[in-house]
Amino acid sequence: MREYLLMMLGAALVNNVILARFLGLCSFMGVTTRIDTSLGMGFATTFVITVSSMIDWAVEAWLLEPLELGYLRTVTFIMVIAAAVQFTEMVIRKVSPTLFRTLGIYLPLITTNCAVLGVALLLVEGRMGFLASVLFAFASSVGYSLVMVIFAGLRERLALTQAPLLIEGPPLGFITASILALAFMGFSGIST
Amino acid sequence: MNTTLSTFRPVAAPLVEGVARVVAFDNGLAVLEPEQRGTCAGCGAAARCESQGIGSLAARLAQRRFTLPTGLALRVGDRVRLGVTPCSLLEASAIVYVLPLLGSLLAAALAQWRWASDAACLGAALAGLAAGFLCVRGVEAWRAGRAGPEFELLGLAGPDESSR
Repeated sequence: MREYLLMMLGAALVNNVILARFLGLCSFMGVTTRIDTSLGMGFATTFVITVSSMIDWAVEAWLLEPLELGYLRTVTFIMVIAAAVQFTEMVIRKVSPTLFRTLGIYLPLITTNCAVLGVALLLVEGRMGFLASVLFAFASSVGYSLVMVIFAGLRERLALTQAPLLIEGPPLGFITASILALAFMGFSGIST
Repeated sequence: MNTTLSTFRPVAAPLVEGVARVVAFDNGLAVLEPEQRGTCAGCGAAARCESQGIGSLAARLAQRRFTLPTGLALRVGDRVRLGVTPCSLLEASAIVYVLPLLGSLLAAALAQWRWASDAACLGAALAGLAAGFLCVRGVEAWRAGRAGPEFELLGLAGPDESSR
């Protein structure tokens, strides 16, 4: 239990997907203009990363590794992620058309989010069991969502400031992100 | 100073806006197709791709079409701005994504504790996911009697306007 907790803490805070591994930067800069949309994106990405990691683990353990098809890993995982997103959309549409319609106007492209593929590939490197893999993926995506929401809050405040013209917009966003990354380095003593 | 509490009114959170395109009219209702927001140039280019096929973006957007009564004189091809309250959007996200995910994680943890087998754990996780989606259906049925999230038509969208 303690092992799982430390691993999750490490995945969410110490080796944060965005600030330590630099994955999912396009959505980090593109969707974080408002806290509520960032949170919605966080929920969706957490779901997709966790569910696709379950299937990726099974594909890796029972298909790619026994048949020595490691060179097909990236393309297989991309297919799995696309299929997971498509399947999820179909199920949500079936079980809850109203909610599907509500989410429809703002859902961003999750399939092409490199954080989803990145976490799946990290799981292969980690050579963990099923539950550990799923918890690692879940914690990584919670860390992703946390940083998205924090950064969105900062950007909402930055939008009200008068920044010099030279760094206004994305440059100021990147400077803020780098300071946030430095702040997250403070967690590095907790666990690895 | 005779300020009373009634002086301070809560400021309503601004609506989450999205852009949709009018694709048809059905019994006086506009059939709208939401535009996919792109998070970066690559995603934006993918969002503009019109190629149809199983799992393609155009096909996924076609699935999300919905009807809305409009007071504006709209034509097919017009782009309109829609707004939805952030609260209802977050509520929808939480119900659709969090419930099944929690069900899946809980079932996987229970299977690991009971059988300590990866195969059993995977089976339980998928079963938990299915159970979570059934819960979503139940919650949806329970919410059917309440006022659901409604879109507000905010007006015509400019040529460079996108969801935010």
